[in-house]
Amino acid sequence: MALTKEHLLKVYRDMVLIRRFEEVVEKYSKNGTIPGFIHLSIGQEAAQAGVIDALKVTDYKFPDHRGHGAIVLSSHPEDRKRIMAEIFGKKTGINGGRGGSMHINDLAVRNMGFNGIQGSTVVTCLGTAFASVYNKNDDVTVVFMGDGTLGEGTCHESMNLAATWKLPVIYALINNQYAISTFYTDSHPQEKLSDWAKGYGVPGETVDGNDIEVVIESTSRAIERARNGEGPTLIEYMTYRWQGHFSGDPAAYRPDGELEKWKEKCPLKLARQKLIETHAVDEKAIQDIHQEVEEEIEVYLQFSLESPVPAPEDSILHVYADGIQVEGRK
Amino acid sequence: MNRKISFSKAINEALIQEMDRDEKVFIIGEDVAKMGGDFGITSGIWEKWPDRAFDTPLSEAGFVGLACGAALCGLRPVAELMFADFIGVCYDQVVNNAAKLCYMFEGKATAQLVIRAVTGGGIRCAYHHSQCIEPWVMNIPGLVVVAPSNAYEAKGLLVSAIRSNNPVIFLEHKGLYNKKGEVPEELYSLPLYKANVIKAGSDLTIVAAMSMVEFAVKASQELAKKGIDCEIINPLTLFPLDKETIINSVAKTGRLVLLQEGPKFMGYAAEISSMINEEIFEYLKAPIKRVTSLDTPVPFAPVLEDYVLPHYDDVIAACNQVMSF
Amino acid sequence: MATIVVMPRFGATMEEGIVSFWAVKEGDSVSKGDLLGEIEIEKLTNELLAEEDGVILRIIAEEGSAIPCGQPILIIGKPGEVIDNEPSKEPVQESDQNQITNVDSSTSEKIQIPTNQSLPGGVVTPKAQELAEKLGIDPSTVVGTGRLGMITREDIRRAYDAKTTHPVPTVMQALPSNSPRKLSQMEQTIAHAMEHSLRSTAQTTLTMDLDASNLVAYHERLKQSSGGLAKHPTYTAIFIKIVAQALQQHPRLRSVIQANQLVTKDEINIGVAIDLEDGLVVATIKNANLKSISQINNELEGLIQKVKKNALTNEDITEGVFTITNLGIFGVKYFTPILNPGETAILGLGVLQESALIVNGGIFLKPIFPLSLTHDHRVVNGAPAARFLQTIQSIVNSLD
Repeated sequence: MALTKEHLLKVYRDMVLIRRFEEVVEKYSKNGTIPGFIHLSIGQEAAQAGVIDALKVTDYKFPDHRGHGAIVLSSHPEDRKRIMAEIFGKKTGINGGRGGSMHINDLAVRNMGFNGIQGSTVVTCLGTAFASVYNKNDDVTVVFMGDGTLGEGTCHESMNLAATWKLPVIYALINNQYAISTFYTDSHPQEKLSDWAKGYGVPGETVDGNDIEVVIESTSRAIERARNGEGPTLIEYMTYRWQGHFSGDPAAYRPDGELEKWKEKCPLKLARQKLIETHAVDEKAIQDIHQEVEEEIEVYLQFSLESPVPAPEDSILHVYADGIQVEGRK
Repeated sequence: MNRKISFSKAINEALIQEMDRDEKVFIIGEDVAKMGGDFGITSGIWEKWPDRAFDTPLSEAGFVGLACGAALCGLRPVAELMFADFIGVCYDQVVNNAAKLCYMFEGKATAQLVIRAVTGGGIRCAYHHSQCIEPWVMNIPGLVVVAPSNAYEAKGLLVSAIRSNNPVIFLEHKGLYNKKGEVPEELYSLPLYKANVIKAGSDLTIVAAMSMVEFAVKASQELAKKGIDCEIINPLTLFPLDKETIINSVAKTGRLVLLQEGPKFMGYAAEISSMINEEIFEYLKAPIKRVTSLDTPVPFAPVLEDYVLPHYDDVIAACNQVMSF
Repeated sequence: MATIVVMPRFGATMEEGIVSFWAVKEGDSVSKGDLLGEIEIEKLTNELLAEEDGVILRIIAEEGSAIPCGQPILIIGKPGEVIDNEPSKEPVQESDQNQITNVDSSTSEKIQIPTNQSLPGGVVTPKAQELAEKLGIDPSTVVGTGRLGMITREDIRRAYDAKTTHPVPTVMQALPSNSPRKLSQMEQTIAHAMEHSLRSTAQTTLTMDLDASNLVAYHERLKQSSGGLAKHPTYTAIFIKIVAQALQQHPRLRSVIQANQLVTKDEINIGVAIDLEDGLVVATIKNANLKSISQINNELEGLIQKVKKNALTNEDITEGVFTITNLGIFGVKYFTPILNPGETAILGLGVLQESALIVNGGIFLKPIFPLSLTHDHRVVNGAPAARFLQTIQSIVNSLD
């Protein structure tokens, strides 16, 4: 199902934004400015952009560790620079610097955050879906997971409960084929991970995760099912990550030539081709988009570099609710 | 004089009265709905509110995770761990998820769930159905661990736990379920984070929780005959602990004996002992003594289990040692 | 951290005092030096002044009650500092959200003083009892500040310190305590140098009343010619030139013994002793014999400025050959300055005064500059030293 020119332009811009965002944080991670480690999603732009595009702001989103793109696109535009600032560990970060890359949450857009334990959000997401049913509204829940996550027992508990209770969950399984260094068929008996869902009586679909139109189309159908009370769906988005597991991982475990093959199928390239060939969009318009994104990212970067770090004493706030405080340093 | 009801009935009453008051409260767990719970604690709830009582598959991680997500949306789940030992299979959800959500969300969302965990030994159910698990969760900042010792405390503390916006592990010692006590009929709450001085005294402080309170009271009565005036304190909230009440008591008496079911190493008795040493060493007249289970798993045959669990005679011995130092 | 103010010892025999009157109440802000109250001892009334800025957190001693010396009478601290009145009471809550408190609001800042226990005696902690026995303190005379009003080791120690402190003379305010402290680097250097100087030389001092008539006139002329500007040369600067010239003629006074050899210094560098708030430093005018008085004066002025800014360099204070030290501004006449280590002579200047001299049976008023010349008798005998002084007089007489 093809998108309109306007829609495709919009999601193309979204993907360019992710690409540039990731390239900038990669640079500042490699030069030591960003503390800790980050997981880059270059190559997986379409899967993230497409899923977020199909959702409403009030739908619950659970990004994973490789989800800067999903996080940025689900935020309000004026908060996006605070996402980068959070990755930089600044006070102005959307979580005050206390979470960093892997733990970004934003209740204003129902981004429920990632928990550093693989498989944890896969059960927490049952709660938000459950709440929609309990409160009788049609907000759905999307949980991003990977081919690696699927190994965790919680995924099975989750699918079992969601299917039995027909909870409105979309399992957005981004299969980039490697869980750090382990190829997915070394961890799972199925060739298509979407087959796993069938054991629970849940519709599962494997799609080309680099074709944004296909991503949007399949996700929208799953969202519709969920909103109608028909229960969960699993969509497996086949894609590839261009970098290693974390920024700095040389990914020597991947066979030669595999990356090049997938770069040919770059999601931005595919969408651009579509825009030019099918929608007669000219080069200038494409350049304008890139230029606009460049300026936007520059704003995020300057904001992140210039923002102050948090006060050390911020670390002891909010351990408990109800005003219970913990001891600081004397 | 209030009517007397059992510890388990008191919990049931707390649940029903609180669910009546607040429609955001729901119960979830294995067999809690239609059956009314393996121990009957949640009986009558599903009949009243069929869409607020949920039977789950055997998926502790699943439903505790669900409880976390639901709490983030403003609901107040009361989940049940049929045996506290099962916290192992959902430990990640408790310590890495529930405990940290308020912190991760900077207080903008909170994990206001209660996990009722059926704890303790003495019922001949051996290794995996008899443990006291509070040390496993007392070291996790963000969690609240509550431990009533009688029916009155059970009802009042559970009400507070449900109303609290912090994640509460509510420990129900299964050996106490049938013990009756005076419980007001109306809905009431008891404060969290506050220890209870069961009996004031001047010579010796005994700190005890849950099933050990009975030992403490009995020992105090026996020692009184020898002219020893004991002060008995029940922490009620084990974590975060009401340090001040215990410290003031031991400052006054100068002597402390701690009673605790469960392995000796790193239990609440160890923590309190260490804290007293740090804060008021100079007020001590004798070393601090602990009376606990042995550091073993809990075995089945009665003679074996009884050997492992705390001995009453050891309580008297410890008190005497401390008095005669 | 709050301060516990104790009953001061106003006299050697004072055992206890009565707070006859409190000028402050709990919650008042006070500044250092403010009157806190009055203390009566046997008909004498002394003022109790605040030794720091703060807020009165707790008044312990009631007006009219007798409190032994060293016992707490008042607590002063920061606004809002938590003090537990009774242990069972809820502590005062801060409205400031950032205050870090434990769940039970106990911090080390809390001081437990039950309201009616401002009197000595009470339950003693076991360790305090041990310490009391060791230090010979009777706990029944001690007010406790521990939990539940118990007497702690700290209370015993405070009582002990109060008992053994040197009595304060009866003054209108308690003197700040001058407890032993480490010597500063400068203090150590001076102490060492002066002792070394006296031990390693044979110092002796000659005095002379310099007839300063011509000097005063000369100084006046310099003042006129500078047009009343501030920067006319000082007497010290003039003396530097005079001494430098005299040294040209008296090489012995600019010689030292080194390894049994007489070493004469040809570069006539004159050191000037400059008084500092916490010490003394000697800054050098190099080649003073070759410089004009105004040059010397400017250089001296520059050195003094450097001293004020703590900017003296090593060059400024080394290679002196002869030192001048001026105590005249303090009214001192004759003194025995100690040689600067490595030098053979030092000239002390006293106060310039109009004096009556008897000359040829007549009384004349002359301005007299008392001079004190300390010399190292190993290098210079008395007569040559005296002749040096005569040279100075003749140079003064011929100032133009």
